[in-house]
Amino acid sequence: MEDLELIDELVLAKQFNIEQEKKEKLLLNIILPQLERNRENVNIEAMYTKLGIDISSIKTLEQVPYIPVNMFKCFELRICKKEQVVRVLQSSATTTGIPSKIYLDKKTSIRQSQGLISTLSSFLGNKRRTMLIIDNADSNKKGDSITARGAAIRGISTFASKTFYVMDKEKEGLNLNIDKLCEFEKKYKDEEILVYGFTYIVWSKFLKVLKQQEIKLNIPKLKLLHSGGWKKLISQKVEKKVFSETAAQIFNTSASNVIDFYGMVEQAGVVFIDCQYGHKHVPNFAEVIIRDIQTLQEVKFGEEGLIEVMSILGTSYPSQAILTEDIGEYIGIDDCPCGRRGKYFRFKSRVEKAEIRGCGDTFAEREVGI
Amino acid sequence: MINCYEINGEFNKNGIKFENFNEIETCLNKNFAKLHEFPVQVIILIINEYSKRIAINREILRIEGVPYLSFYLKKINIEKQLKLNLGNIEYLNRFVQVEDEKYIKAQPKGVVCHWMAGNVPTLGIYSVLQSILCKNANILRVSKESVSAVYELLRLLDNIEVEYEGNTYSSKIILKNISLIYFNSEDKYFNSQMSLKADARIVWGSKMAVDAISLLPKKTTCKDLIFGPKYSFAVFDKSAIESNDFEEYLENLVTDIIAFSQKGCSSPQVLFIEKSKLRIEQIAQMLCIKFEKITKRYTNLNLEEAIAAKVINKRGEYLLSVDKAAYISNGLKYTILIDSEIKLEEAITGRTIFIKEVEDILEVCPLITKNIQTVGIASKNSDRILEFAERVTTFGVDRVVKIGYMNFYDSPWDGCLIMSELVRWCSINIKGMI
Repeated sequence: MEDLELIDELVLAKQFNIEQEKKEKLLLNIILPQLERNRENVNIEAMYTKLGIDISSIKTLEQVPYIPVNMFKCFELRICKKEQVVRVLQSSATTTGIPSKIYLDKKTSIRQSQGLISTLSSFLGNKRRTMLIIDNADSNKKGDSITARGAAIRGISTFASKTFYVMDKEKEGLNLNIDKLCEFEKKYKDEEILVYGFTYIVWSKFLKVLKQQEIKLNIPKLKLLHSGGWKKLISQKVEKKVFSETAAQIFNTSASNVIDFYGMVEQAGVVFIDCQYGHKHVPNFAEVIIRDIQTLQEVKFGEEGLIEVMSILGTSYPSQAILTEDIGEYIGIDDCPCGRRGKYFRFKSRVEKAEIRGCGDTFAEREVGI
Repeated sequence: MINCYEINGEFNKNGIKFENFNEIETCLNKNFAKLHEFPVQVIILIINEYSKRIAINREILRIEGVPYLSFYLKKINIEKQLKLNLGNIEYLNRFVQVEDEKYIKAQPKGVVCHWMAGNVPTLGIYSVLQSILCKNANILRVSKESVSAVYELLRLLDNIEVEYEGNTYSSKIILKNISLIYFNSEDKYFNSQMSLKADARIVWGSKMAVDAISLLPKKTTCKDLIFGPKYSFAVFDKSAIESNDFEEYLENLVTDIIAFSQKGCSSPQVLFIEKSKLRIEQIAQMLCIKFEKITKRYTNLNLEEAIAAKVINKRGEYLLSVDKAAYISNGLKYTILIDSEIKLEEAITGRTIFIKEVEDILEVCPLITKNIQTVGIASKNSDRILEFAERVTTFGVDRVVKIGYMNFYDSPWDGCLIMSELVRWCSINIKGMI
């Protein structure tokens, strides 16, 4: 049985204040019964059997069997009953064309929202503010299924007293409505406001457009949160520093008010926000293991590897351990100067998908019949 | 810029920068005639000495594929290869009478340009020395990853002297007919310029690479030898599985998988096993033990991120599927994937092998395409091997070799007797004239 009280305690209480050793024990106690429950899914059961997993003998979080993130594109990894699903989260499907499907029951959905709020509170405080969303309202429309963008907007909107969408949806995609933006600036320029957008959209459809048209805003007290879409920006050679400085110039604010956060639709509710020292911290209800790309064991401090994100939030899908295709650098434990406890790391890049090609780089069946 | 690491018999570790091929071409033209004067026996003797030097150089022997290269370059083998390719090695020295007052000579093509793939550094040496045996001048363009290995290998060819029929010959003349270069593979200008110098183009590489080079401008007389991407697999029949040598065959399969990071055109990607008294799961478990044993010798896995991601995803797919099986190492040392679909799987590489059970090894015949290069076979029945080879080579396979030998370079390769393509067959026909 799950320890519901403990989960609630870890999710709702103040974050980043449990020391690593204690946290590992707490999480393990919650995760092990969740793994037992995961066996209800035939695919998970098949995996545990093939790997010879004996849940009772798992002694560390590193030993918890992980699921590669792409598997949510290939299998229906649902733990709850079909009728209990209240929402299906879908990834943006940029690489493969097939979106991940994450099945949420009511409990998971609520916990994810609570987890997000708990985490963001540590960085934004609890005060609700006016929020400018660099997107179109359609991204967050009500329905059974929701995209990663929609999920992020919905989550952050809980910190909003009012929301304003500043992009118009047109045939060729999103277009910035400059009149709307100027009106917003006029009204809220002296207030503390929140701005959120998908990183790629903020850069290509907002900052670039304003820069081209030589428009500068004056909203110095904002916090601009952005997430996702780095892959496209890296291919355009836009680095984080350039992004933050450009945004700061456009809004007439400090670059420290531009905050990048790392998260994924498969682990909604778990976000990693840069502290003032540029480190990403792990909330109390989640964990990160940076695994060496050859040995798949946890790397040492200062080393890089694949980021595995663990979470206790999910009861409707196996969220306990998901191995991403992102590369992170493991920085330390419990001792970040910002005072936050637990592990901290840096996001480095997406896994490099281009490989060295050789004379064996072919697939026999491609040319059948030739 | 073109970075030239060896020209006119002189080595430069950092590379001399050239803006065009003029100097390279001048040097090669200057030295071409001297190589032409070498009896082919001299070239064979120099290569034989070269092979000995390689064999005693511990450092160089660590480069993947070099121990076999040293074996391949021995006199006895080179003579065998030349005979197989040309029939008579004297064709390379003089006009040989083939009929009454009809004579044939194998003259060099001229300048042979080699574009080498990055995954097998020794391939550059095989390619260029075959061309040298045919007395051609060579521009050897290698990949960035291979520059240092090919450079070190070529250096060993320097300062070899051999005696033949009372005369002394130096390997310097051979080196003066090779220019080792690198330039960015995407540089269309340099690729085009190199292509235009070629009397023969030898291209080894991926589809993208060979397609791009095939489209470059060239002389109308230029001969192309294109070794594009190929796919290989292995088959074990019942007689092999139930024999006392089965474990050895499995070990040999593992060495074939591990070599060249499983990225060679001759690297096995799938193993088809004939139904036998051993269950497929038992065979997979035995293969795990062999992997564990052999990978202790090859600890440097050094997987690229992209390959690691592919292996992790494939493992996930096979572990989560209810009708598939996976036998995997701790970490990414090896991955064995089992399913019942009789097909060739997209190469994952990174020591990933798919195993599929068939009633009869001939069931693989419908899977054969012209893209299949090598089938590694384990069988105790030579009639069966011949029947199998007859069938699969009809459909497209180029080589059927015993397991453990899949990656050993041999002639013919990719269905081609390379040296016979690197000469111009010239004739004198004066019957009844004198």
